[in-house]
Amino acid sequence: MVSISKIRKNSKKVLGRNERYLEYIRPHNRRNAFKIADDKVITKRLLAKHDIPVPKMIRVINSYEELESIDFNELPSSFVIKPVHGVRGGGVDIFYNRDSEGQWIRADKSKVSISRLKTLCRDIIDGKYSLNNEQDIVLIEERVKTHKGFRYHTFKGAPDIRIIVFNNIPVMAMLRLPTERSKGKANLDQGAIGSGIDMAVGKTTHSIYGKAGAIEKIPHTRLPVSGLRMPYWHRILKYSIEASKAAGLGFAAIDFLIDRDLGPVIVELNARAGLSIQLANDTGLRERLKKAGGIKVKNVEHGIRLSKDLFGGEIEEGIEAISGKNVIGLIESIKVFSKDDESKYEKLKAKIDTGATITSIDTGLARELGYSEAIDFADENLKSVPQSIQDLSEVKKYAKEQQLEKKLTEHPDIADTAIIKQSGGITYRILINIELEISDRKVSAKATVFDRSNLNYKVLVGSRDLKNFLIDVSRK
Amino acid sequence: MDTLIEILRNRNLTKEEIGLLENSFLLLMTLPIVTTISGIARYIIGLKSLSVYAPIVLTFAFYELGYIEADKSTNVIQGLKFGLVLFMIVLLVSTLTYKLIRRVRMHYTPKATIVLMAVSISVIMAMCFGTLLFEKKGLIYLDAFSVIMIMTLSDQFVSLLSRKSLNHTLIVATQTLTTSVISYSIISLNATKDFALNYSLLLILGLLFINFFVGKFIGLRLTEYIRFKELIFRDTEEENGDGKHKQNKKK
Repeated sequence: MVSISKIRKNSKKVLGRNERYLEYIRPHNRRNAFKIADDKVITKRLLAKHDIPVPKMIRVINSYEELESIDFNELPSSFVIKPVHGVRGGGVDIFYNRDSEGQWIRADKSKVSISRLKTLCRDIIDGKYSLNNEQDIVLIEERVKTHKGFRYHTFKGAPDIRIIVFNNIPVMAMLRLPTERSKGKANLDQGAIGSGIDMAVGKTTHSIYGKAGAIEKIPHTRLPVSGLRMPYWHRILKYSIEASKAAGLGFAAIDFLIDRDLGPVIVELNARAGLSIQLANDTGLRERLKKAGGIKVKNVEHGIRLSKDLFGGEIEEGIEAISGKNVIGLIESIKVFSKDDESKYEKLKAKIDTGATITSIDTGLARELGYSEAIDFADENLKSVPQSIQDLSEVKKYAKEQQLEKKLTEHPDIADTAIIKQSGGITYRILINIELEISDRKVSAKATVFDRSNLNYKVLVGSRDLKNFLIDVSRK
Repeated sequence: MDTLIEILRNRNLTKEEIGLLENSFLLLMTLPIVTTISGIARYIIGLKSLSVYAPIVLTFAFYELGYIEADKSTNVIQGLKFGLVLFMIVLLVSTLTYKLIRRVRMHYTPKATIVLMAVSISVIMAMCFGTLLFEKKGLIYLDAFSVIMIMTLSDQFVSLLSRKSLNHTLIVATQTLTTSVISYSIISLNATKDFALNYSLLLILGLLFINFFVGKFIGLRLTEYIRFKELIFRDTEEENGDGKHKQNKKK
């Protein structure tokens, strides 16, 4: 049983419709802003004026007369029709292609002839989908082509990303993925998937399937919904703040589509943000709004930074923000860069070992990355080291006598030398300068080179090169 | 109200005239009572309704249907019985007719008219068959105006159906009905009537107070506790066991 005090505490985090209206929509949105948000044509013009990308407008149909004067055959084979004052995605129709008889094809393969299309337009003009059934205007715009990153996750239609902006800070975000059930529409009511997004990194976290509750995988597939990265995340946050500013909406939900070529485009501004986003994120909105409320946001970048810092969910993000260190696991995927070419690198799993001081790298891998010359040079010089010496002090003595270190470090790639004591005996090795990237952070490491080909990991990162990291042993 | 009546009585008003006045007062006062109840149902409980007017229209239709002219009394059972039957007919016939002609391409108003015609015919049929089958004439004597009031809801069904799913429409219809039945039960109570007549000032002040409270209410609606149950009725700060997606916001 959940205790009453817990319920009270939890319910304080959730935003309800009453509070949304009285405390957020009404006080923070100018009357003029409603007019802008409720009219998609005005929205488009305003955003375009502020250099915020929007889908390209093809036509606007104001009346029956205008409808009759249009030659529908001039329309492209793929486009979208929308009611300008439409609410909740009603009346939106997306056409993907046109068949040989001139009929347009919808996501569910149903076909629409010109006369049917005209009827759809008439319905819109009649106000079937507008706020109070008032006369409406038809908007025809270019169809946004689904971004490659979502290709396998979405059914037909393009997924849409909604950002709730309050006080110039993006406070919560949701990705809506069209499914077969939603007939390719990104509408939760119709059965789309809603995924919460981590504000700091733009990755999906928790997800719900329409009104049916939490899901882990895309229906009929084995694709996990969480961990999906939003392309252009920073730009999305930037545009969302700029759009809310431009429209004068202090509290707004801003809907993006990601076009394959254009990147993020804004399709809609909403003065009345829906509340289901809380279920998708598995987190209450009220708590976040209260946090964002009192802050004076200096500029757009400041807003983005605040959003990422305050609402970037994962615990480790928090630790990283406080300590300035990245959290990594015992086995971490890293990049090892080629010696001469910054753009060339090897991506592999490395062992993070705080028990070792020095990083080491496999000889074969080092050769591939362009260190062959240095390795051969070292081999040449080390050949003379007698294998019989098995005492640390003796090796040191020998190295000093032969001035091994001085000789070896003359080579530009060799940074240092080291005497390594292992179960197999004592060896004298070279250290090379090498560039690594661990958890998106560049590290200039010095690594010993030896044959690790029979070991599980070709690279081992030692404590000397782990100064900027915290290690979470439970992380996989 | 008493003082007002006292003054009027002194101006030679007959008993009947005063009775009429009292009746009008009651009827007029019940309007804000009903809207107050709809307000509570909407903002505190969170019941949806077809429109702002729907519960009011329905409540008064019930009221008229249950009103017995002969002894100026109210028969709650009769009001509810006829009211519910009519409501069901309107709901069912509207839905069915709309489903039938949904695919036909035509303008909205003619479409709604066809639906309304079907409803009208069904109501008349129900009146005739009801009288024939049960040998009761109650249905014939139904207040025509109330019947029409209920029938106007048909348009609201169709409008909702054209935009939302059948399921949603039925839920909204049921919740509208619930609000109306509660309102009707309350205004039909003799106690309510007595209170309204005897303590008119108190009633007005009370309604004002309640409406200010409801108007300023920013807490969660009761239905929202159900909607957000996953967020509210959970025990741990972390969720899903792994805590990976959990926000770092412990203060």
